[in-house]
Amino acid sequence: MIEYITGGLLIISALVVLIASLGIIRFKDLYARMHVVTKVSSFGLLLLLLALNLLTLKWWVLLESLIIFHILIFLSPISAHVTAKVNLWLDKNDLPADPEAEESSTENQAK
Amino acid sequence: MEPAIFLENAAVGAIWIMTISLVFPLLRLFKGPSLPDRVVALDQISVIIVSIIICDIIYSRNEIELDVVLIISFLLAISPMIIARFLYKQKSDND
Amino acid sequence: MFWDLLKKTFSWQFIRRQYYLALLFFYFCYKIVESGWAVAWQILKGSRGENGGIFAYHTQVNKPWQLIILFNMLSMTPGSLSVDVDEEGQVIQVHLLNLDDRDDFMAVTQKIESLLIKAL
Repeated sequence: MIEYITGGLLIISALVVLIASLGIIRFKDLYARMHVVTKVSSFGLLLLLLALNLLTLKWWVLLESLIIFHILIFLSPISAHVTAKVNLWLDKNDLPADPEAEESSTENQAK
Repeated sequence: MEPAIFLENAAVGAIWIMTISLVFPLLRLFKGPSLPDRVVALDQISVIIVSIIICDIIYSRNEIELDVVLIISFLLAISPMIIARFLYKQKSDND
Repeated sequence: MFWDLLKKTFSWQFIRRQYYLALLFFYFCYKIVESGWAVAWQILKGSRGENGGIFAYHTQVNKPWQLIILFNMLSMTPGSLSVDVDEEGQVIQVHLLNLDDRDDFMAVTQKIESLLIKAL
């Protein structure tokens, strides 16, 4: 019985990861893409770790997956913040870049 | 279908779906206009690699591979900070 | 002396703080699942992220530890990503995926903030 639940969770999380990478290619703005990386991917990995813990009921698997989950929760916002701040800073200093990047930066300033 | 065979088939199908979804961040990595775009695409690629390794753990019932996932998730968290530091130093050296 | 220490650690205030901390943790887990689902639904609906923008949020927290936790939690609530904070720690620049959802964002953030002030 537990195998069927685990298989269903595996397929659902694979579809969530597929949706996240579709979002990476579809969104126009850098900040919108970072929304996808921090949230949807964390959700997919949460489902996968839940499936692993349902399948193998061992205490050290639970401990390691808790460590991995806390790394993902508390360090991925920090790395997203660092990337966003560098992008803001590069836009402010007017670095010579491709025309597409300049278009997106002017859109940000207009909003 | 027996439960164990269903689980193996589900794991193989999940690995196939994740391998197909590895294409889109790669396109973004080639196309991305600026360096922070490429950093975001690399982040997504490492998340997909972590997911593939967890699917392989479920397929082969070999839980000791979870240590690999731990190390890769540490690298995933630290690498944008290193690249941001590199960008900062490059710009301040140019000025 | 031992009894004094025990009384000090297990006072009513301490237990109430632990209660609010646990409440905050479960609320945060619920928000992670909800935000992942919401952004995935936005992608499936065919949004291309044109509707986003940066907007300034004034906080009421004053301790630095509270500010750090609020800053990280804002990145995981649905549709918001914290970008920058000024020197005094009063104004956080938040990027919203959909600028029309500003009222929802304000309600969720003020709930998190009140729980945080009670917990820490």
